[in-house]
Amino acid sequence: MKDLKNNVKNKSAMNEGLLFVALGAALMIYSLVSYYTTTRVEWKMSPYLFPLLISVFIIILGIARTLQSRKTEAEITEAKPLQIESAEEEAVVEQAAPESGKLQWKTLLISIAAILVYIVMMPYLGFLISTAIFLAGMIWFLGERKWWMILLLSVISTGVLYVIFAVFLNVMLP
Amino acid sequence: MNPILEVLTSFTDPQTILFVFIGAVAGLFVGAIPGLSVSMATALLVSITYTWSAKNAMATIMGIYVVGVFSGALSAILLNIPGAPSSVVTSLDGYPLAKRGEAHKALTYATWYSFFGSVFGLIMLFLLAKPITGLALKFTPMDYFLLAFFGLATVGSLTAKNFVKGLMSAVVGLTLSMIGLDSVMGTPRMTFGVYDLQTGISLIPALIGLFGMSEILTNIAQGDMKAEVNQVVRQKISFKEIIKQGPLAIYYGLIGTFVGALPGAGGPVASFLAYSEGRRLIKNPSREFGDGAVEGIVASEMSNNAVIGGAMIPMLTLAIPGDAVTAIILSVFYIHGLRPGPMFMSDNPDMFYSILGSSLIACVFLLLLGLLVAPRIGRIITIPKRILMPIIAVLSVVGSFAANNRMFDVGVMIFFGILGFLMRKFDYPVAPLTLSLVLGGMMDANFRRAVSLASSQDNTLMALFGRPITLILLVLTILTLLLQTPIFKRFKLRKANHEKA
Repeated sequence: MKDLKNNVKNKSAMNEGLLFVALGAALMIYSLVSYYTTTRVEWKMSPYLFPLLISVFIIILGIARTLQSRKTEAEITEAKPLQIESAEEEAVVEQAAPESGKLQWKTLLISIAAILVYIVMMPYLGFLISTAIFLAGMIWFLGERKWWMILLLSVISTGVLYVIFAVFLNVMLP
Repeated sequence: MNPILEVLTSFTDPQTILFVFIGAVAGLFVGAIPGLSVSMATALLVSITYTWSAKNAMATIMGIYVVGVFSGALSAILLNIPGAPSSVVTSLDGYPLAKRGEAHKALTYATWYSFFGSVFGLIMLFLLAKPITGLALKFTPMDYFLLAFFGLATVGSLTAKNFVKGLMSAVVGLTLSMIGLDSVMGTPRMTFGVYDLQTGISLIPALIGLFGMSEILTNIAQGDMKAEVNQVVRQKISFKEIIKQGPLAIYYGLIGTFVGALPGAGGPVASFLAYSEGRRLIKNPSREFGDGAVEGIVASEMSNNAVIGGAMIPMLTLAIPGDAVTAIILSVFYIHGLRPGPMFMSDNPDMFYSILGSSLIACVFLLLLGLLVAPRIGRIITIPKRILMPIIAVLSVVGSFAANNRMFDVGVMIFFGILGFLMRKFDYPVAPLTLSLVLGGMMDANFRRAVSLASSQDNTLMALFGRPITLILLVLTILTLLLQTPIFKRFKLRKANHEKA
């Protein structure tokens, strides 16, 4: 354990691993408790057998992930079968790393909020109105500035979607 | 009359062709729009075609089925939002290709191999219905469980550079799949008193969230809304180049047909298995798998279309559906007074031939529509993100609502959307979760059946594992898991370095 603590190069892995172990433990407790508190069936046929087994698996994986914190993420990643011959190739591979752009938290959260508002409003305002408003709002929010474009797109898209889902497929939209 | 000629006479009947065409166009839309599924459309068709003749009804249904399975690949490639569970694997290599501007190439390969896959499956149906049925029947619950388990083990390894992460993703999916009423005993599991959870997690909203909403969130989080999604480069791809994938494709077709013939296992399983086999067997893909290798698309599309032919096999010979759509087709049969079963092919040969014929016509339409229309639709991805994202958001909301007509599913979609977003942020593969969500219920039920069957026998262990099929599957699964452990990998690496020196 001490060896592990001193060698933590990958803090994220450790956190993920521990979180997973906690999840596994929770599932295990749930399965066992449910098993004992509901009408007893033979353990082989109990619906809680599978969750129990899964929880064991989860705990094992969580431990494995925690152990992975000894290496950095790059070291864990499997070496590509195609041998990296030259330095240039290696540089290219490095650049193919996960897309990095600055994380736009504010935009993201506002967008999620907007979607939630849209969903909540739909039963009250009805599909057509709420969709049109949502589309117009989002398109503007995300950057479009041409008024006519915003209006045109919102209305047409709403219309098309309505036709497809409500008319063709008889879905009871709010 | 010679059976082959019988089948081909369908091509001469304008009415049949028309009905197939209707189905084909509908299938193109339904499959491509995330939230609309082929099963949903087929279910609707049952009522629409009620008054039609059996032949015409089947023509339209086959049209939707064949083209629908293919067009799931369209949105998978262009938007990274698979139109159907079967197309999830296509997006793994299709979307990276699209991002490089090579969407046209991806679409072309997808079209051709969907075509080949469908035809292959149908040929198998025509020739091998009996033997395949025989083999499929020998599968015991334990075998089903192992098959699903094997699928998860391989998918955990093939999509993640980090095997542990892949398995973690798979296991989360398994846990989520257990929410709801247990399939064997009917006890509610993990519903925590929430009434709406009793039916479990609906697959379509989950998929839409996992792929559609998470894609939106990821895009928004990256900013850069002024950008166009992708450029599309018009490419000329020679037929010869496409054919080169041929030999291996036959193997994928076999996988697809057989998995389709297994009742309950369908497109997703087949495409995952084919993909992992492809990864295993192809030493020098044109590009890295997962980064735009056309070989991946070939594997996925060939197998998931071969599933169609395969799924028809048990449906026609045993009246046991091979997948969701064939289950619905069964009801169409009954409505029109047909009786599938062992006597079907001998009692109603003309119906059988006409179904085959319609399916083949549908394949031709697939090819035509795919080659002509798809590239035009490909232009969609040149729409600026700020317009596309809100529209997809609405589509996601409506689509997930439409699946079961309740707002709760929209909430499910959002949950999975955020989950998918976080997973991508932390570099966890989403594919294993998807597969295990699909397979979880099947694994659980079969496992319990296997255990209870075996415990009533004398020699439990033998009864559980004693059959040849079971042993083969067991060995395969264990091997796959072992091959991924660090010990073996170090061994492989050392060997490779030795040989280089």
